[in-house]
Amino acid sequence: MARFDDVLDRATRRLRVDRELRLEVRRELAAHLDDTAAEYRSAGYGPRAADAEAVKALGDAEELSEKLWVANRFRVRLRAAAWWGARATLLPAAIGLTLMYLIAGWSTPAMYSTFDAGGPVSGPFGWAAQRFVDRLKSQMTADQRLIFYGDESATTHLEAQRGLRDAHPDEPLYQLNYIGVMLSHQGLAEQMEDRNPDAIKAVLHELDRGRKLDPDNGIYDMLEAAIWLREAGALVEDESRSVMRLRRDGERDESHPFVWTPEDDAALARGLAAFAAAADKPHLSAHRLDMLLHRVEQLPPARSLRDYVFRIGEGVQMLLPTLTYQRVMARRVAAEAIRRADAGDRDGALALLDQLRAVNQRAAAGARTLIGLVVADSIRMLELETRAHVHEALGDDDAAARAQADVDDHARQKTAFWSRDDPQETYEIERRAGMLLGVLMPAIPGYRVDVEAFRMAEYAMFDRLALGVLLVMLIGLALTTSTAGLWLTWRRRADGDRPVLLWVGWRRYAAVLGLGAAAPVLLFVVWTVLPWGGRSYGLNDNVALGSALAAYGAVWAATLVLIWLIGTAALQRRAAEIGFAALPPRQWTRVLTLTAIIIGLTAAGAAARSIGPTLGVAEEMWWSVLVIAVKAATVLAWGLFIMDEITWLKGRSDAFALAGRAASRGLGVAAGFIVVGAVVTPIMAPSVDWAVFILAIAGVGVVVGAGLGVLWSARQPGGSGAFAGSVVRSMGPVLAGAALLLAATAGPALDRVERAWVERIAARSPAWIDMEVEQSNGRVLRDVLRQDAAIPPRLPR
Amino acid sequence: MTASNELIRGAVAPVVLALLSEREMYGYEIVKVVNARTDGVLAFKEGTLYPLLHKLEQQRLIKSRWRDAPSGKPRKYYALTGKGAVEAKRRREEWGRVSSAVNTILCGA
Repeated sequence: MARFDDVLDRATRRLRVDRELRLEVRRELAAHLDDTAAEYRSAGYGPRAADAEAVKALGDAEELSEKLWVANRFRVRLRAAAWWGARATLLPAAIGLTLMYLIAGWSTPAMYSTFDAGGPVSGPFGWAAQRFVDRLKSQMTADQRLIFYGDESATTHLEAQRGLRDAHPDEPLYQLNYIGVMLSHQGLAEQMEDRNPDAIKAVLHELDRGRKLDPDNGIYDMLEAAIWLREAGALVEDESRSVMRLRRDGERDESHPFVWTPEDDAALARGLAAFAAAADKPHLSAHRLDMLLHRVEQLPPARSLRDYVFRIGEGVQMLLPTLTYQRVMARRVAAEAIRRADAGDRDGALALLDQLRAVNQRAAAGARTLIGLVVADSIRMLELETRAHVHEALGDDDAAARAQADVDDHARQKTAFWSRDDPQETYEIERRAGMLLGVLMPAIPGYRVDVEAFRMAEYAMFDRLALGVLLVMLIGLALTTSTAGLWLTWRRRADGDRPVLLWVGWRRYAAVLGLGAAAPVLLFVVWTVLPWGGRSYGLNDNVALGSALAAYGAVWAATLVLIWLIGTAALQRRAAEIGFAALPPRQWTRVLTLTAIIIGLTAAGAAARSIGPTLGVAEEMWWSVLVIAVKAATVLAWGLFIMDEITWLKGRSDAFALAGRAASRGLGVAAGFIVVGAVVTPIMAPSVDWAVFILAIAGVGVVVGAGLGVLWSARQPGGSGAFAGSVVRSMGPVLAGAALLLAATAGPALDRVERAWVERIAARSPAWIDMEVEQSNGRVLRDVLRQDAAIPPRLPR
Repeated sequence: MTASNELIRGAVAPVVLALLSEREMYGYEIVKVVNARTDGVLAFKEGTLYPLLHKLEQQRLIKSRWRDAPSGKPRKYYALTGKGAVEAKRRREEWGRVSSAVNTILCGA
């Protein structure tokens, strides 16, 4: 139709501001002229005369140009505004939503990373965790913040908790909380260790104050006893004495007691007096768990696992200091009993041990956490062993033998208690428990809690992270194509090859987003509810983790490849409609085969490392080689796909030949890496380490080589530069739209799923840690320690 | 004998809408059908059809799509929308009233 170029140029001249529209109108008019000329030719006109008649029938080109402009000017302006609007909002909106999800996703690991550290949030994810804490504060009233954080104007945590106590001076719970913080590392723990008189005086003052507020609670006397007894002297392990401690495996270990020679009689007297007072009090509790639950009540309802983990982290930090002092007190009381026995004071020694048992029974009675129970149990064992040492020191061999038998009995009961569960059943429950509960399960015999809620909340959290990764990849690709499109437009600004921003139409746009972005995610959702999805087991299970990672890898690969393929196919059809540069037809069999290979390899590469431990081959040389090979093959497959796309876009039909040459160049680079690695490595003797090192270098070489191969193929001249540039320019909005769609739909849906599971967890317990004893065999051990009874042979479930 | 431009100008839009209410057509096809059915009475400069089609499309009275014609060549086909069908009926009735009134005066009927 080049014979009509002149009239077509003039007829569409006014539409030049919208290149795509002008191309389309030009194509339509050209078709009309072609049909008209054909009719004239069939009526007997010569070719030139037929063309001339066709142009004449069309009418005046200048007048037509004006009429076309008038008819289309509103559409031209609307399209221009829509494009600018899309460019100004689509990508920024997609980036904004993606960032929101990344921050929301990263603040959860941030909370995990601060789980053990305690104190202010810091570390690589500190900023995200701090943002989370700030958001939390903004949802609380001033009173709620005072109870949860203390006085926010204070410069130290200790001062903050003092502020809470001062605001409610008659509340024993806040007084005990303040004392607990004083004894912690956030308070005066270091000064107390160094026996700083001012610190000791301050703590004793607060203990006295608490005793007046809460006279029936022995905790103040117990803590005071620990402080004074530590002041009285140091402990030394006495290897000349021993009892035989029965291990779980039936073997026996020697256990040596700690003994002492008090240097400060006044401190000793005050410590023992406080200890006796503690033994006389009806109950003993530091109420740390009550304070934790009270503080958690002030928080907004947990909406995500992150919120809930925050509560658990807070709980662990609060419990430890007072338990430490409980042990300090018990070990010195035991040492003092041995000292009295050595001095021949039988009644005095046994009286101390009876008091120790009484104090420990009250502490055990209030134990609602596993760690509290374990400390009480260890003190019970200490007391039993000390009785054997005392009787031996007094020369009462029969009593010593009976005491040793009591030690053995308690050890056997403990062994029976801790190994009461069926190992196979316990292992099965652990596998279903997920990462967080999976760690706790083996430590808590008979622990029976709603593991499904925790497991699924963890999956929802990881799904959100996986979505974040996918969004980053889509945004990265959108930014790359948009930037490349702008560069090509600028570089070819004076050429006819200048890239055109193509609009494929709403129907095709919806098809690209639906089939490319929504379909893989929906298939993933279906997969997760199927038995093969592996979600019956937690992410702590290697097979389930491998299955989850494989599914994530498959969704990432499928989404990226399908959006690209369907998007470029839509652009190709649009280009064909408006008579833009024609490309060779895609070789769909080859493209889809490559797509399947990429999806499979990406899934396998993501899962390989996790499955190794379950198969028992993680440490095997051949497994390491296989993992590296799969990952290298994945990189190569992606490289091949990218090269195939580049050659197709450039209008070359010999895509695979070019891709093959590019791949051979890439493999050449990889081979070079291996040779250099073999030469420079100091481990010249063939060994497993040497081979793994070489393979690792080869893997890097394959990646670098594939990248260079792609670059080389991209630089090869092609026949359809305008269309290739137009695709690059037009795919940016498609990719940004896909990211926006997923961020706006899948993101909130995953939020809702996670929230539903967390609500189920929170409905069982506001902080979970308080269920450790109640929901396990721990409640039986607690009753045993409280009442001094034997552990029953069978435990209720 | 062709009609005057003034008469043709007012008739083109109702005619195009009426033809598209029968089936979807592309521009050249519309011209051919008009010529065939009116014996060339309504012959108009063919180029003026396209601005009209584009205008009707923007008014959402018609919609377009590219597809292959029977000749195997891709052509841009136009079809009535739901709104266009209502408008076609309205214009047909309007034309009937106007032509009847004009006939009353010009032909003395």
